[in-house]
Amino acid sequence: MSQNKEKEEFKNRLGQVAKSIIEIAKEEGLSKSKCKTDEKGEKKG
Amino acid sequence: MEREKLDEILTELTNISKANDMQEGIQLFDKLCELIGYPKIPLEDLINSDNQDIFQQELKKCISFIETKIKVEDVDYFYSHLDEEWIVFIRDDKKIEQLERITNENYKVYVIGTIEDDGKREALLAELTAGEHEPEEKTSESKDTLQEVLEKNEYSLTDKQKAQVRNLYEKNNDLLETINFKILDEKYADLEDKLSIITSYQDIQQQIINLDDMQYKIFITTLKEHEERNGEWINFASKIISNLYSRQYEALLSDIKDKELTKEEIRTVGNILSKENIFNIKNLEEAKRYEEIKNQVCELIIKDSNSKKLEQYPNIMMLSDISRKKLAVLQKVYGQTLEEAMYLLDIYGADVDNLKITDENKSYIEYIKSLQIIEETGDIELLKKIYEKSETITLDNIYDVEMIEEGLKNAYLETYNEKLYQPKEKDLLQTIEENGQEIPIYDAGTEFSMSVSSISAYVRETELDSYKEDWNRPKTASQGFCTSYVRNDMLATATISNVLYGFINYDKGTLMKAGREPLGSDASKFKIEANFVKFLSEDEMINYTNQLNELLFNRNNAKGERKQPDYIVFIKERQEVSGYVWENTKKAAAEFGIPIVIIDKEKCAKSEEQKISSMLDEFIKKGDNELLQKACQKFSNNKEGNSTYFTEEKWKTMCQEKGIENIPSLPNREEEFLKKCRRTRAHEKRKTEDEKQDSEESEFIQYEELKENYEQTNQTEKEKAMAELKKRAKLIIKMSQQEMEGQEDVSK
Repeated sequence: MSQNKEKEEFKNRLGQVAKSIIEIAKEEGLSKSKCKTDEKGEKKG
Repeated sequence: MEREKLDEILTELTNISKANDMQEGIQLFDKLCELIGYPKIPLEDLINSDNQDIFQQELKKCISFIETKIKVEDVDYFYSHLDEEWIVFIRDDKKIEQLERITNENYKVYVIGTIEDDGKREALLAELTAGEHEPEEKTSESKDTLQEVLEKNEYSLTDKQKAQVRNLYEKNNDLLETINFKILDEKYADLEDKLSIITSYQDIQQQIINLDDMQYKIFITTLKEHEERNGEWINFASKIISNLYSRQYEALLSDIKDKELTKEEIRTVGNILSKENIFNIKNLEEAKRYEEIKNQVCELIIKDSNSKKLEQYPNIMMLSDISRKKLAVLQKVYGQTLEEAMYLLDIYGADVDNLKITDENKSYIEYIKSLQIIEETGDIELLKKIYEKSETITLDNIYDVEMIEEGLKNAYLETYNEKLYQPKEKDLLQTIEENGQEIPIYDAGTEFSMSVSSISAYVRETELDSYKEDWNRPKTASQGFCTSYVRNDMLATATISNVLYGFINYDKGTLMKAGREPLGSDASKFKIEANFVKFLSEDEMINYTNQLNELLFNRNNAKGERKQPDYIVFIKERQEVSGYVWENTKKAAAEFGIPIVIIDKEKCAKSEEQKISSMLDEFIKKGDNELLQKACQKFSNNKEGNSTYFTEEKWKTMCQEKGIENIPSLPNREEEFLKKCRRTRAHEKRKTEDEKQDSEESEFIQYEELKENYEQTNQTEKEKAMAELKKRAKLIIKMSQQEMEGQEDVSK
């Protein structure tokens, strides 16, 4: 495989992994605030 | 003063030098004053002075006080145990004695620069720089020396090796001082294309020669594979060699010592040697099972980070509970250590948000942001979640830190490249003739950015026989050259005692180091070392420059072509364009066949003053505090490069004349930068909070829209709309309550 192609593949894979982590953190952040709402809601109910 | 007390003082001085910010430093200084009985300065005065110079002066006075209290028999003890940072504060004679301890040439120059006695300072500088720019002509004497060396029987060089030496000598006239002829042995034939660099460094040659046959096989195989994949080889070679001599790998290397490894096994061991031995791999069998061991340990950490089974991994045991979990996540997804992540965040993380995202750099920027998330979080659940998904989001064990660093450096370089001044027809002032050569002279005007390098900055009035030859001198030991990034509003450069080269269009892969202050870099090492390295985008580099910024570039691009100056910059300080520097500027421009670009410092200062004045007018008109802050920042930038024109007094006067009452202090650039670094580290943490806030805001917007609709609908519709409105209102109230409760939790 040529050096450029290998570099490109590495870069793309790195980006995919990073993006996934960012997505998980976003989801987790949002679901946390939702969970918090639900929990409080249940207590009040 | 007793030795015991002296030790206490030395410890306190070390603590001060390690202080995180000026405030902490001042508090520790207060403690030191009490310890030595030095008359205390009111802390408030120092903190409120907002001026690091005052603190530095107090430190100097305090050190002088300590010097007077030391017993004669303890004098040597004190100076030899004093941290390097303090050398600049001690008295001249002791400073000169201590200079021998300093190995970093740039720091040495800095210390010499602080010597108060003009004569001694100049003499030391001349001594240090003597020979640095000697003409590089290949004299008959040097050729004879080469010939003599080649003929000496003790080296028993073959004809091929003699030809190799001649070739290397053409590229590096200092070769005979550094080459170890053993490196020309057939055994090292695979290094042939790297010899022009390797033979410039005695230490690295010796380390390679001292490797046993198997270690060398591992070194060269791993290096070749890395180079094929990456292109870069110096940093990787330095890492592998250092690991081959590290105690971390002692057991593994001892295990394979008498074994004949297959190609695949060599590759396996090389892979282990290219990273920190965090999983304590001790033999070939474990090396082969690296992935399995890694997965088992990571699994263990996630399930029970205090498990007794982890005791066999000292590098993991030294981490805190949450750091162990972060390590497990980083290992699973990227195959990297926490230390590597911290290093990358420290060097490249402060300003990634200001990089323009392109297809080329997007992955590297997102990678840094993902590291920020992992490093910043205190949320174990989040770490577990990322870990759980690591089966599908792993980098498949091909982590290549050198490739990542190159990608990030290129992303930062791009912010500079696109701004650098290129001479334009409209800026042409005149054309002069010098040594039969026509030289166009341009005026940079009052809106420009430049990357400049001051030649022989520390040598006073030394005219070079040939500037072009000097720049292209056949020497390979110094791989890089230092530049400063200047702009119309920040003109801080190294001392200009000769000529100032200007550069444009840097090639990718040539930016090596960058920082907002002098880096203390040593470009004469095999792997260039530097302190204070922090990559910043061009605008932030100007905003945070401290004294002068420094960007270190490789002299050669990937094709081995040496970077040449694109123009000579002349900074006009007074009315006339004349004098020693101007004569050299013309000479250098003629030799290179490039133009001269003039920066009129006074014209820039007046233009900047006008711009700041307009910004203040705009602030008065609009009342937007941000405009005042921007004017303040701009003034501070100008002050950094022209402190005689842009004084604190001038700032106050400008504001007062405009009738501004609450005049902001000029920023303390050191403290502001520390704040910026802290802000970036907390960035991802805040982002989650922001998203939560965003969802609240969107609820509020929807509520407002419904309310508007309600006013416009008929009675039957109104009941439905009212129900929806109430629902939304309830939700908003509930979210606000939770927000308040959350804040209370935090404060508790």
